[in-house]
Amino acid sequence: MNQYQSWGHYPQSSPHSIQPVYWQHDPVNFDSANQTYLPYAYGRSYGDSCLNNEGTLLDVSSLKRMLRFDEDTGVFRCEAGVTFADILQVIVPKGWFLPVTPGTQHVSVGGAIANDVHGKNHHRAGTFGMYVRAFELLRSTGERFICSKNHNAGFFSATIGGLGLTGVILWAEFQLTPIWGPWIETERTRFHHLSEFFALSTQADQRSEYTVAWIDCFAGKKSQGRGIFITGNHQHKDTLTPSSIAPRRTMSVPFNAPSFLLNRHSLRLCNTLHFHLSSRSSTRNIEPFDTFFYPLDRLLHWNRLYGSRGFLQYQCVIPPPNQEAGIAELLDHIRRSGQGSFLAVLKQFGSRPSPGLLSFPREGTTLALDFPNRGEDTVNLLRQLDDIVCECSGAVYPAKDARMSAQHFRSYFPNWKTFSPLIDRKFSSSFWRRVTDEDLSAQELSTAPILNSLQSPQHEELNTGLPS
Amino acid sequence: MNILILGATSAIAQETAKFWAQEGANFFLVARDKEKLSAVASDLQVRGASQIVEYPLDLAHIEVHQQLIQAAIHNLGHLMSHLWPMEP
Repeated sequence: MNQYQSWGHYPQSSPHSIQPVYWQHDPVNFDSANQTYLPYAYGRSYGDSCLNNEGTLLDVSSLKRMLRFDEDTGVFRCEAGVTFADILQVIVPKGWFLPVTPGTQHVSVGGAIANDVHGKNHHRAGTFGMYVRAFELLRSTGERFICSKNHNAGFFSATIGGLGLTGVILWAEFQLTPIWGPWIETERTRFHHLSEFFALSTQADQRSEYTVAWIDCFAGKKSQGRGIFITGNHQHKDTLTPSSIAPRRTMSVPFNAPSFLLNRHSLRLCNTLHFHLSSRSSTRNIEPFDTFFYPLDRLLHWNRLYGSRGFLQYQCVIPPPNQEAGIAELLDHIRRSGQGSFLAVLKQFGSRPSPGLLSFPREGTTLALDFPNRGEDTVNLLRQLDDIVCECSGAVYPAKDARMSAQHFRSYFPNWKTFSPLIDRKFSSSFWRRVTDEDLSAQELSTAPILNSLQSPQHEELNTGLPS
Repeated sequence: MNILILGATSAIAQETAKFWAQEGANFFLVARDKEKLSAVASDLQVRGASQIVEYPLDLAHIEVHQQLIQAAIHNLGHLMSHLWPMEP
């Protein structure tokens, strides 16, 4: 298996070639005939949106230089391959934090933009793309565009959440958020039913910057959706905090575990234990930020626990007013299938819109789970879940998908027609070929509005307010 | 800490310099390509370097070596010597 896989190890992919991009100013060779290109950094997307089977992957993991950091305003600029972990190491001691972060700090900035990532603060802060001030986009023609809300706005909105299909992001500039220190005040509350989650979430979202819930997706009908509700707030000026953070120990899964390890019985047992071992009442704590935001990062290569067949992640969002009924139906299907997950997460998204044309988060309730790959059984279950999501006018997250149909994709992302003309003609991905079914008819695309900025791209340097 | 790096845009030089940058080192960086040198200098600055001098130069030009050393000493005051073990 080559190293250029996705995090779920499904589907397996064999790129035709790998082309490293070492320096942002160097020309990139796009001359191969009949070849498609796709940027790739650390392969943290779960499915096939970061794969380009039989095509060329542009490895941007060497673009990891930080370019500017204004410690007074919190404006940060870096190359696209810089990870959130690298950035946190620099900014947290200076009193700044990422405006939005997903559940791992090992994502690249380019990937965070291309997937318009969200986190536990979506109900207040929205997506990462909302904090992007500007980036430079390299197209296969060799042209370079500085993109922002006001410059090349078409490319800007298409690239945020654009799955790497609009070109290579070389660097990006974004706004950080101020903090008093590295600690998070947390609270964990056990709840016994899905309806209780919605009540807790409505209250907690008012007073907490970060909210999320773990749920037991094996629990029976009477306790459907039981789980643990987790809230967090950055420490305040006067919060009493420990004098130092103990170094975190990380462990690594050294090889693929046997596939039988995670079966329905072991997963059910883990879920039951996790629920019952948590405290009956609310527990409050002060935790270092990385323990709160990135618990899975302590176990390096945790994806290997799913064995060589890998796993499929499923994340959907159900908008109002169908949230509670829709999530209940999804959980019911999952429980009856006997295919469950230990990592099942529930969260309420807020209503702040992202600038990204293909951005996934939208107002509603999001459910994320992962399933060991059991072939057709798993794919059939996820197809049934897709139908429920579709009926509820929801959407499934492309960054975590490896098998949604073209029909479902078009239903979830009606903006795909506006997005398509902005794709770089030499860029593609395994995901994109699958969901467009290679048959983007001229008739369908002819109805798509062409953005004005495409017709007159602006090349001038952008004044972002930082000294050059 | 004052550090002169010849070939500052090589991968190993960049990664090593990051550690010194976190400790607030002063750098005198030498490499051929001005744009790449500037990118490396920016990175070290953000990571905590105190002072950085960029000195674009092709070290194949032996006649300017003396001038280079003088410029480094002039900017940094004195230099620390750090030699990696060489192959025999």
